[in-house]
Amino acid sequence: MPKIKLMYFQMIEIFKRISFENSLILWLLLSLPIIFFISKLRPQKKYFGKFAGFFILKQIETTSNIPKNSPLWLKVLRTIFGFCLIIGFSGPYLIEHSNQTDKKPILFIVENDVALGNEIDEINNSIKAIITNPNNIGREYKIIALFDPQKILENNKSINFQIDVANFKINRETIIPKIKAINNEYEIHYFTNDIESQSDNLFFEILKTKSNNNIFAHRPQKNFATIKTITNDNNTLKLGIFATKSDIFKINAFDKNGQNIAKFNANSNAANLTIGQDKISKIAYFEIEGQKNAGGVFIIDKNLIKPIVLSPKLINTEQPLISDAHFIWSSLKIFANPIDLEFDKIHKQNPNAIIFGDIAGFNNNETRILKNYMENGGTIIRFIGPKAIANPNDEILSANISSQIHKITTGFGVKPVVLLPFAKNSSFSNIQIPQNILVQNSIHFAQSAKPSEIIAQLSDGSPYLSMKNFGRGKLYMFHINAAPIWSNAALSTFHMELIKEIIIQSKFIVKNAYDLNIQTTLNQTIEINKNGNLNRELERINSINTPITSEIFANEKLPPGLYENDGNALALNIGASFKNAKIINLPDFIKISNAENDKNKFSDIFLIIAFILLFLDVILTSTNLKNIFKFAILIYAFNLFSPNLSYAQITTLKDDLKLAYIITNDQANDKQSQSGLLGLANALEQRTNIEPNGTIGINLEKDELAKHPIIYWLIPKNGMEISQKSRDALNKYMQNGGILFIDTQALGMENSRAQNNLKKAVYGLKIPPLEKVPPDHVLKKSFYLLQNFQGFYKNSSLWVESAASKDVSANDGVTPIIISDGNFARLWAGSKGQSITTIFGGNFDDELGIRAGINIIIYALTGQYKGDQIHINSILKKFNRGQE
Amino acid sequence: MLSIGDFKNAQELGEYLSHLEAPIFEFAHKISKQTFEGKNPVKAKGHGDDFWQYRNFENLEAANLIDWRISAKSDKLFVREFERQSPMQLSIWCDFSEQMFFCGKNRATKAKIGVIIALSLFFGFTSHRIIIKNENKIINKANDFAQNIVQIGKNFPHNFAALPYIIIFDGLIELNKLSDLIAKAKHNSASLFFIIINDKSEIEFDFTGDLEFQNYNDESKIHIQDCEIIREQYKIKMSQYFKSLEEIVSNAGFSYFNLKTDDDLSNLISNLWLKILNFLYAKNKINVFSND
Repeated sequence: MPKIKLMYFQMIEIFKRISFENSLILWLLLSLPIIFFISKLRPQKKYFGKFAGFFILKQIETTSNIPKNSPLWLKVLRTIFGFCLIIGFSGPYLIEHSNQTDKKPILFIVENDVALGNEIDEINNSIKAIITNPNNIGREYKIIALFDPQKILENNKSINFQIDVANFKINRETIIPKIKAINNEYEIHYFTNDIESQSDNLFFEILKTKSNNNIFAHRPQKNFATIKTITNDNNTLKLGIFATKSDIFKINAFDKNGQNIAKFNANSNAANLTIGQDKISKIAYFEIEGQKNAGGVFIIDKNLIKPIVLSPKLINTEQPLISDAHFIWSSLKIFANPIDLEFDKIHKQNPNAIIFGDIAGFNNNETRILKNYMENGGTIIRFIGPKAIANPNDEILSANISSQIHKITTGFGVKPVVLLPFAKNSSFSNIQIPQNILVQNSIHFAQSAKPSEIIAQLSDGSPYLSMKNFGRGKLYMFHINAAPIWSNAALSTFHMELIKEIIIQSKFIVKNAYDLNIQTTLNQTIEINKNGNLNRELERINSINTPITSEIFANEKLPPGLYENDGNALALNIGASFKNAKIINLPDFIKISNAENDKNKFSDIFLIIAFILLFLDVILTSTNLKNIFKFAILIYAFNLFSPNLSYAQITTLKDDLKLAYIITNDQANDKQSQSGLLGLANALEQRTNIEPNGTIGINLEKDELAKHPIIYWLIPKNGMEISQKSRDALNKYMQNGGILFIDTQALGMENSRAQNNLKKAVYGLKIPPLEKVPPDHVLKKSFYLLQNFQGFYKNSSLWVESAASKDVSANDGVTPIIISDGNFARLWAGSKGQSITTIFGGNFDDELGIRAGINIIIYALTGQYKGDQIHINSILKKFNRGQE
Repeated sequence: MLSIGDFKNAQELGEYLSHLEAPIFEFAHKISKQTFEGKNPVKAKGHGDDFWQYRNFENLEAANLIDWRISAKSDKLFVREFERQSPMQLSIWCDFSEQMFFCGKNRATKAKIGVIIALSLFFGFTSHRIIIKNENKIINKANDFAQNIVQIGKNFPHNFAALPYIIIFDGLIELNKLSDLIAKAKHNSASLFFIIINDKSEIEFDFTGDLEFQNYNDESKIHIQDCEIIREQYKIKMSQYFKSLEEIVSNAGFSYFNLKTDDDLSNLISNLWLKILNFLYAKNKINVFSND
């Protein structure tokens, strides 16, 4: 008897500990008696009468003798089913058994700085769940938060609070005094941001004393990531990243209007973005996808402010409206921040460009200042006209100019002189040349002049806009004056567009506010709010005074965002605060807690029982097999459409395909293969339906080749021989339908050496007769319509199995071998052979190489599918159109 | 056919048939007349040995048909015709058990069809002796015949004489009953011709919705929640049943004729008639009629 009594009390204890997530659903239990009633009910039937086919009906299994009432067992079964269903959905869980008989008050420590921005809602919910836990009812609680601007959280008696999150980093030390100040012993729930801090030892020591080792740490569930640094290394932006968990992120780059410029992958440490300078110069800010906190945004200070352009404000008093300065200033006011030029202040004003109308040269001092400016990366734009040619000693020119004005012949019988279109790959090619531009005079280069880059040209060969590099900077020279005297171009927006593009491309980055020696005040114009959005309508203007003596980090008084004044700007990004950040090591005495895991949930058990009962009910009561079949389909559909049942992590599903390369004896060579294929994989992912799952190096001796549709073999420059075993493997691979893509990179070395390398490499391989890719080959139309296949080395070629030998090929006419001499890997990897990200900039040759790569992979995957006769007509049509 | 009324049970049918003026007689007579007129095999000219009649010679007939002996006695040409071989006694039994009175969707009961067929046959054979049951009782009046056949039809025949029998019964007869019947007939060297009448609803189960059916033999019931769902299955079972029924009949070496209550009797009955004649004459090894 005492045993039974003990069991009884244990049961009671267990029942006391059961709690429900959605207790309202439990009201449905009242409906259980109805199930008893319902299972009595039968649908209205009609008595037909006596029927001679009765004996046949009896044979059919679906019919059953009509029961006057559902049997009791069925009623019970259905009632249990209803009970389990209701209990299952009400989310029952066992409350963790608390051994503390003394109900200590609870202290919540919440590190709600920017690093917890992603999950502040979840933390609020967790805290409220702990407070409302039946075990904790009646216990006092106190919340100490890193960021608590309203001071409402301490000793709050209700749960109607909402802990906010900061949009900056806050050091843990700041709350040490608060914790020190509390007297009682608490049970501490510590919602850490997982970032290490200098005074952690002291902090945890205090926690220990205040809690008597009764600390539960709640670590962040979501990844916090922020961009720490960005450097520009010759058209490759290198991003340093801090993340609390290792993961792959997607980062978007936006221009100042919020247009997406680039999207690329990053790991938890770094990312590279290789795009053209023109695109880089347009990037205004980066955003890490999935980061809903201020750290997810990184502002580039340069592009969100108007460019500073210096130009002498020498308005010709006699003819003010046709002076160069008037036209230059009118244009600049539209898109820039024009400032009158004072030579001795150039270094302070830090302009994006300096523009001169037609002036008669510079004195020695001015020339020195301007040269110095350009050598440090500055951009100068000059219009030259009759005044300029008068000074033979002018050094601020793209090249020496003729002392004569070149008169452009117009009139009867002479073909009108027009502006030629820009070169296709020119960054100016987007600018529309207005119709009917007439140029009467221009200034030519002197005959002795060194050639300089001509950007725009007239149809008679006269230069219109030329450019010369000066150190890191550039000098652009218009060969006419800015006022509409020699040409009517100044009346259009043409010159303005050209100047705008030049300024966008100017490398001269806004002077860092740290380098400002003058006293000025930078006012905040943009704030990155706690959700990681750019807020331009500020309630409070915060400001930074220069000169700045030590590095400034975003804080409560200086929220993250952009601070600017007169072309000087400072972007306070959260990432800077995490430059040296590390993940915290929690001391052993802290128990790691996870609110969700603490709940000993068993709703699944009830739902499974309900499900089994339902199934039993259907099987036992339905004699119609069709019904069971329908039921099975229903269950299957339920499974398909209920995402929560599987608890599957949402991951980007990739194809099983890995781009394979052969591991050679040259590590640098392998690295190049890998980088190249990675680049190609990115291109495939972006442009096609193929999403390769990275790359894989293949050891010919050990690895199974058959699972790769194509294997890339970049033969090292020093040549490579393979073993007999490898040869056999490759021969077997090619015979069984694989494609071996050999890249000899022959164009990068002497002919004899290249031939030698190839001979050595393919010795013993069964190579069919080869030919250059014929015009009608599927490779030329498998994805892009291509005319030639060039790799890193231009004029490279691609050889495939000759059509004549296709009869003997076991591979349905698909070539088992592709040979190139152009080093595709190097092209795919980007000009430096490094792993690149997603955007291939500017160069159309590179683009063709990537297209060739895509065609080759698609060809390897689809074979002769594109050789079909169904689409041949439209393909040929398109081909012919391209050739015309 | 509907205008002649229908019957809910054997008693009603019996009462109905006790009046000779009942329209069913007229109907059956009409069918019989349409079908059998000139085709009555009982007494007809044919290729038998017995004399049938003399008739006038008609032009264009073959001269060898002329009976010169008689023709010589007068100044006309006569042709002598012979009587066809006549069949023997015939017994008709029609099932009038309860299930024969089942009526599907506005169709005639199987019993009514059975009566009409039996009566038509009776009229077709009126000049012939009909032996009912084993009593060797010769009935010449149609209503007597009808009365008797209904009385007898309430029960399955117990024993058989060595005679041809025409058995009219429900297509959904219990197979063991049928087997018993055949065994008895075989035992008594009786030859049987079965006319099987089916109701369309019983064969095709063309009911819809939720219905409850009861057995004829006992109180047991079956509840069909959705008739449509089991229809195909029912039909399959039904055809299996018919297969076995036909097997039982044909294994015994007997002929049968299948008809449904919604068939057009006037068309069917001549086919039936031919079959019956073939049945009767095959027994006497005389092939009387061909289909033309």
